[in-house]
Amino acid sequence: MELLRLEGLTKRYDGFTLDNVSFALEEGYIMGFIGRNGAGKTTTLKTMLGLVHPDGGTVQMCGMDFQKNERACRQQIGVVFGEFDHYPKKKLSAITDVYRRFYEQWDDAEYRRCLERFELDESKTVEQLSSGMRVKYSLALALSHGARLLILDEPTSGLDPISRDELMELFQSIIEDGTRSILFSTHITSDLEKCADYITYLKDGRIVCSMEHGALLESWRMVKGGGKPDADIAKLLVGCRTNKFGFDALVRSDDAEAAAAAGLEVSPANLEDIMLHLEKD
Amino acid sequence: MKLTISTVSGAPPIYKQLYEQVSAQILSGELEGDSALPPIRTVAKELRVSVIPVKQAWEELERAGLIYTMVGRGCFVAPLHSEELDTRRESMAFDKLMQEIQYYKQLGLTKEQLLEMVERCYE
Amino acid sequence: MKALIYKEFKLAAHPTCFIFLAFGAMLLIPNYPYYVAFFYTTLSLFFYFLNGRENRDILFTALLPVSKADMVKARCTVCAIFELLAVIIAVPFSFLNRALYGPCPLADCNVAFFGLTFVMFAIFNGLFIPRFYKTAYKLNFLVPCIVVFLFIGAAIALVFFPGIGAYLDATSPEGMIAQLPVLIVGLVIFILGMVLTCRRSVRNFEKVDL
Repeated sequence: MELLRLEGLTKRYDGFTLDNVSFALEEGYIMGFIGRNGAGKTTTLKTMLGLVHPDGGTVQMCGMDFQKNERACRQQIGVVFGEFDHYPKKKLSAITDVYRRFYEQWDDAEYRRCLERFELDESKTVEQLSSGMRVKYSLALALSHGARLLILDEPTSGLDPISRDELMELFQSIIEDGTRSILFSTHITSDLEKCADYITYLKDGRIVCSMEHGALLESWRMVKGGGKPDADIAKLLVGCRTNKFGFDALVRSDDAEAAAAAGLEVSPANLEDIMLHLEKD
Repeated sequence: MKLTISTVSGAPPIYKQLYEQVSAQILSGELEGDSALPPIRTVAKELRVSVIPVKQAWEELERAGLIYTMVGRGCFVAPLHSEELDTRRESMAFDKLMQEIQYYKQLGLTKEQLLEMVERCYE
Repeated sequence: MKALIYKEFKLAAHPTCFIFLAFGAMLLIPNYPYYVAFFYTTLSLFFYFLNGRENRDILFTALLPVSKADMVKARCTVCAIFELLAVIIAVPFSFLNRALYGPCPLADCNVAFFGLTFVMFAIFNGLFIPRFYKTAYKLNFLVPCIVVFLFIGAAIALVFFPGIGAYLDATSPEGMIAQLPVLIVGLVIFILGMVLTCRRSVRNFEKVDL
């Protein structure tokens, strides 16, 4: 079952347009939502959550039309923009006491389990928590109300590498039973290398691609060569970066053989390579 | 079952690594016939890889007749007779050898030189 | 809606909202412009909105399974509750004031005074709340504050007008019973005003992109 489907989502601002954004996410998977700062990731998330009024397009969430069933949809999702930074001076217990009243499926036992698992101390205030702990607190709230779809905007940007790694492991255990999905935006592509099943790539308000992670990596190759590329090879290169001594670029996998035959060094591309060169193109 | 995954750049795709390791363990008899494979999602979580490549590897194993799926109960190692294991093992080794031999031919090694090297390797 | 109101009291409301409720005791200050006691109520509501903004309450709430309209309604309801409570708490002090000091040279804290206080609240709410919901971010307390003080000046000045002055400033039981229409009209303006304020605010807030 699809937990999320955007169709033609559009939002126009002066100087920026989120243009016809469409993608879908099945249950049981992690989708990384990538793009450089300002590409429109947060706008996409805010628009699909009804925080920003779309100029066009539809959103299906947990099998329902979001615009028509906003409250029912929200019962089934957990959303975090950045780290939890609301009510910094309040204790977690006070915030939870308020939060749980909004959810029909609030499960107190599950909440206790999450606190224990994430080593969260309820008597601390939000501002006493580290960035990683704040993200975990948000996740605890989301998991305790039975959210099936977790939508996280840049959850890792404030974290150190160890906390990031822990969080990715946590994401994988959240989707392990196959009933929940996670959509998270990031500009840190290394977070996605291990855990993302799907990658949706947004550039200047448009979707470049939304596909299976491995297939995306397989569709591109890195090439390197000395000097300047010949004219017939240059046509194949995408986002070519030149320096005094040589160049590197992406080629489509179909063109890899031609590049190799022309004497270029061909190697697999990772997400960062792909993003760097496509942004340059 | 032992699995190690390399994610350094230039490593073969994850599904391929998984396929090769699991199939080798099945063909060597290390994994017994009818024994259960761990669930796909558990493998993904434990190895810190995404779900889809594990799924792909398992599908490929099934297509190769090395494992079978029981709906709702998961995947199991196909019970293969020892002759069957032998022939499969041989054919896999043969395929790999064929690729290698091409390379030695390019290097200009003779059959005798190569056989002698194989002898030395096994010692 | 119940959960939202609970949230307003437990998380969003500023401590001064509760502390300033006790400022009804200012009615015990002799010869004081007693309306000022309720100016503090409006000030505490300003702190309430400010506190909500600083704690990023709007985004927290907007992501809960509630409608935008209900978010506004809950906050308006809580504002009205604080204003009503401020008046109710002040009533006993007004009796004490009369027992202690007799007539006051400025406006007396009698029945008409409370009626006009409700009008003052209605004006404040109408000026302050809908404007905030135009952006759900910008707060403008200055204009409502100036208008409230102009109102206070006018209300006190009324007492010195011939005819109406004697009616509004009466402190005898009969005189105060005669003032009941002022209280009732004031209360009606307060309630109707809040309904209109709330509707305007909902309309404004619906248009906002958070």
